[in-house]
Amino acid sequence: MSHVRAQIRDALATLLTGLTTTGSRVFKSRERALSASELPALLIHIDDEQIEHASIGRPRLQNRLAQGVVRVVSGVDGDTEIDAAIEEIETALVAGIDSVAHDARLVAISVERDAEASPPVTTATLVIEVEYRTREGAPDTRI
Amino acid sequence: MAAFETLEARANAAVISRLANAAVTFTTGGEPASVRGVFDRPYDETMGMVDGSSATVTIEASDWPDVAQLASLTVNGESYSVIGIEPDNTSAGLVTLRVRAA
Repeated sequence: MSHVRAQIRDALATLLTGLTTTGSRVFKSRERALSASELPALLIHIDDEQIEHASIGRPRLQNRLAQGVVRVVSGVDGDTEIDAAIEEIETALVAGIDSVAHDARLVAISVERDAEASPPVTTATLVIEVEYRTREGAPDTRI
Repeated sequence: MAAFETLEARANAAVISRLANAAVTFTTGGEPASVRGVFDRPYDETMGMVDGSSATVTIEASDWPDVAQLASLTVNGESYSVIGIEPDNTSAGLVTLRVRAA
């Protein structure tokens, strides 16, 4: 079994694969650049994580809050494609939230543009707070 | 001794005549025009995540005095749009056009 972080990343990717705008162009933990032919695409990462210990005796109960990041990358001018992708992601997240963790909620969206490049690039970064719980020493088992 | 602006104009003309690497066509004053320009299209990893390029073409400013944003041009037969105009603001100067594939 992999760390629950990885399981959450996998679950997000499964949940968001096949959306109308981005289709199968969903990439987990991708570090290398996308090519123009791979746009529009979704990049999925699990970033920072806060851990609170909810019991005293070992192995302690760990309440975790991880920051999931879904980045929409569009290669066309304007906001139409980005807006459509965001709508599809938000709908899919609500519909499939139980498969991801105890709770997952969208907490921020930020948009950046570089209209002077070829292709022009617009990104929307969706930040998703994901709550889950593990027991100390067993980070691969969600409880 | 020639005035500095005269030398500057000569230098600009030499840059275009010696370094031009592309045929540039556009419409100016309602008439088609064709000049030589210096075309550059370096790789640009846009926003750190997409393979792309940022292209520029440099011509003599007097060749296209009415150039405007979104004007159409071709460079070696490929179609582009002007997305930025960077004059060097000298009396007989060059202008660098930032262009994007149309």
